[in-house]
Amino acid sequence: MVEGLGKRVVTEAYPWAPLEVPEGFRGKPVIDPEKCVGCGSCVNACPPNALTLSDDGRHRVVKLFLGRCIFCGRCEEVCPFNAIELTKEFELATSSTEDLVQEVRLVMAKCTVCGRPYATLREVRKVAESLPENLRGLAYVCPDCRGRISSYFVGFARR
Amino acid sequence: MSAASPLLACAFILVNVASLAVLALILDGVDRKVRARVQRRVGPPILQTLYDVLKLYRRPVTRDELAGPFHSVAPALAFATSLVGAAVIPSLLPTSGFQGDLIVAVYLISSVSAITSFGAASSGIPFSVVGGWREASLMMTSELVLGATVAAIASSSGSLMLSSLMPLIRPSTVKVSPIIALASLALLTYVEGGRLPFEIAEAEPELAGGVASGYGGPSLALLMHSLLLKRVLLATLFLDLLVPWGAISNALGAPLGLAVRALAFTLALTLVSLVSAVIEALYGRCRPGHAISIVKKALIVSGVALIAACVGF
Amino acid sequence: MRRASGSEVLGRVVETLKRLGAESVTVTQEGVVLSTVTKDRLRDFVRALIREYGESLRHSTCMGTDLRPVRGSFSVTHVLALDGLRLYLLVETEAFGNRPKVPSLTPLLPAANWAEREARDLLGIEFEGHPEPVKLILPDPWPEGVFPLRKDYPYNKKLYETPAQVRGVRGEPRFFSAKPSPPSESVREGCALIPVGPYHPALHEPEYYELYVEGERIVEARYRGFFVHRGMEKLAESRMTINQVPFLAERICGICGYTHACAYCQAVEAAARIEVPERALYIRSILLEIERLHSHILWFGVAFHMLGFDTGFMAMWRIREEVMRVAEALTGNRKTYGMNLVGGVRRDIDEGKASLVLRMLESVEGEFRRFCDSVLSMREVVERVKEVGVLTREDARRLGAVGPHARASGLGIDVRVDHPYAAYRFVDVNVAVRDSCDVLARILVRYDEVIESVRLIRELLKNMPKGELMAEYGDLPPLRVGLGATEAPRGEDIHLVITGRGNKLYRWRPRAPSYVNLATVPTMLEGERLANAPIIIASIDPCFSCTDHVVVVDLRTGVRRRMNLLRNALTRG
Repeated sequence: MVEGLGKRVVTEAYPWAPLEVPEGFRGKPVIDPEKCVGCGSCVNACPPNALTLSDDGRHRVVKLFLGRCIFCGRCEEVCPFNAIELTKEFELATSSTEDLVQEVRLVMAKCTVCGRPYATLREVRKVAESLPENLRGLAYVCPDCRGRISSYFVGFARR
Repeated sequence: MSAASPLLACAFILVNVASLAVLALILDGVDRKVRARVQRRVGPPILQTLYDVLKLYRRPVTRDELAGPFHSVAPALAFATSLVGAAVIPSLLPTSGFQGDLIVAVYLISSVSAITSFGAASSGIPFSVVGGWREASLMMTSELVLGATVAAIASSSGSLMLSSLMPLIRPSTVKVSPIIALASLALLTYVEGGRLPFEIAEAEPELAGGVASGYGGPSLALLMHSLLLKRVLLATLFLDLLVPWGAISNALGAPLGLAVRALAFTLALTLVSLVSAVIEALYGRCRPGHAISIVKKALIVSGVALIAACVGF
Repeated sequence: MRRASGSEVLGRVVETLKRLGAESVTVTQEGVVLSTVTKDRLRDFVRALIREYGESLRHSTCMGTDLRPVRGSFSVTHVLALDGLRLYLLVETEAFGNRPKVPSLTPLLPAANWAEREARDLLGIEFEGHPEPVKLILPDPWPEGVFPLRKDYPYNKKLYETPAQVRGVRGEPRFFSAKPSPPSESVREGCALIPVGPYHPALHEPEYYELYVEGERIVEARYRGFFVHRGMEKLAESRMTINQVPFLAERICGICGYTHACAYCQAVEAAARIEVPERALYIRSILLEIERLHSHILWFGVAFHMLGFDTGFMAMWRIREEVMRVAEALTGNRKTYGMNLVGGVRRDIDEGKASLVLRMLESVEGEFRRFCDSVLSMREVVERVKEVGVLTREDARRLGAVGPHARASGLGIDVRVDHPYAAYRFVDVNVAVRDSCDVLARILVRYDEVIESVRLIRELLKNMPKGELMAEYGDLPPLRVGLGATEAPRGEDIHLVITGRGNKLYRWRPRAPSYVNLATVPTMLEGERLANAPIIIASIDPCFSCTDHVVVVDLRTGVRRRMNLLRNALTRG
């Protein structure tokens, strides 16, 4: 058992030398503020409620609080726009809570019928792009009004 | 060779005490490094134990209202005792010596164990009490071994003065008893040094530090320091009886001889420490009863040595 | 004689259950039979079952459920294992009223003791005839009539809202102490009390043993745990959706979390009849074995440390580190976490990763064998563990021990063989059994299991079929019962679920293996030397967080209590 004396020591040089982590490492999640549309898929999937949504009328705020994050990567998995990704970063110790928060602030779209803010402008535009040109206007109407309009049309058609 | 003037003798003693006190801490650092290397770790810096003790000295003094009065003075008393031990036993530099200093040395070394275990017994902490009990029962047996060993060596060389005892050199004919006695002393130095598998009084996984568990801050530093110093004193006693240091320094003349002696002695102490550390890394802690039965076997061996010495072998 | 096929056995068991007086008998999933019994007949029914199946009947756990919102009653479901017949019997009984009463099964099956007391603490179900009707989970000063797992108790309600309430009427802080029950009368006046815990360097997790010792000999041992009860069941039942819970389930344990995630997913998959793709089953099994490898090797390190043999400790953890690296490459983090969802797994094991695993196995097997062989040939080590901490086969059976702990006492039970799940249906597992019933046997069983895990991973990797990783499924059918069982590194891990509406759970009851194994520790400690206590406690590889997983108590147990204990110890000693 004294054989250890002849062999290389296994103590890592870290933190005096960087530590390599493998591909696919689940480290700090980062939201790309350019890609995020504020749909809230990640918020629904997030087990520890590290991701939250809040609306203040003009804006929708997607907030990631790393203090609650368990680095499961569910957000990355469910995001329809690849806007959130887990990085290889793991050195998150800090003396200030602010360092653990990432906020993405998105402008809300107002319903062209009732004027109520109902989704982010970016999300609405994405939806509009996917619709045929003659129906695009419907994307700018809130779900409630859209329901009323379509039932009107349906009613109209029946009559 | 001993110092001529009383002033010089005092200076020699001071040098001995100071260097043993520091060496005790550094050698523990060496131990830790060696053990780490056997375990393929980098391990702490060699001065780590020194840093630890210095840090503990700066910590506030805590008092446990449930502990008996002896509990709090025990570490200081143990430390003072071991310092006196360092003053009496010739080490890096020779001491003037007196007839019977061998007995005083043995007495002082045993006192450190006794004070520690009494201190622990009055702590009121169950772990500490059990640790103290273990220390005391180990000590009772090992003191008998120490006594028998020393008596065997003294009677074979006909002196009770450490500096004039050279059990392996002095007698004109090679005798058996000092060799057996020294072997037994070597084992004892290891056992009483509180090393695995005989480290049963502190036993972190079983007793949460045992004898040391009631102390913190400066008193813990004092306790640690005196236990480490005791370890070095035992090794010093062993080396004094094994190697004729006086003859080395005498042969080379005053200043050079002393310097060579001091250096050689330090190296010898380090060597003892290194060997012990490697052995220690290979063992687990044995059951208290088992530890004591091993020491009892050593007692038989030193008893044989004593009888052999008495009949002139 | 021809061995009876699975369906024949099942038919016969269903017949027997009906004959013995079950109101209804349903086969809820493969290998699980649910019978309902009225509470007046429960004892007779179970007594008849014991007469019918004898030794092979094992009480695994029980689940209390507040079904008042759906059925107006409380239910108690006992899980009885018939390991030889590859069956789990669920025995459900109903009770009405605000303080429902059901007969206790503990007098018949002592292993039911803790599970019944847990239901009593958290749901307020009284178990008539229970021999030890005292608190198990909730701290002693917990107010009467507050039952946190009942559906009318909100998950985010704090017991005390203001600091003044916490401080109590007289302004003295409330100490949430949880003391073990007092020693029996056989403990004589001369005994000293050695408190081990709630924090002790040998235990690494909060738990509390009171050891009554005479000199160095332990006369009696008392245990109290559940200091880290985290209210997970409540959280999952109230706030989370089915695919969030796997990530909570794996946090039950810091070492064997994946086995909990698997058992949970299996339970939901069984309740919702989801067919998991075969490749996903193989990946689950491979990861479970990797988890067993690192858990067992970790345990060897801890055991060596308990024996004061730190070189062994360091060597084991160095070897384990290679397993952790591979786990990181496979799952994205050092532990085998974050891999499961209901219906399958999230990441594949491709060729490159498979070769990483094989290379790791090569090196780990060699180093582990070489080191442990040389340690186990050391007389000092073997003598310290031989004939120490004996748990007889009889006691192991009676107290319901599981896993390597049971196998070291001569009981050949292993969920991988007895109730095959994941890919264990497709491979043969060699069950390691020893019968010397001591700590040495527990070491040797785990040694064999490390080697067996290495073999299993190789075989699973070789046979792994191609295919999908995740099953497709729709919304969860409500109020279905599902049972998931896995062989965790420490033994049988059982998760019982009742599905709810809106892709949520109505009830989730995980039971970790340490939960039953811990109950055997006092039996092993009595009559032993104090110096052996740490290795005996460690020999079951106890996982306190696993056991305590489930009511959040923010108040710390205070210094004062420790002082009182010390004073106790002083006056006694």
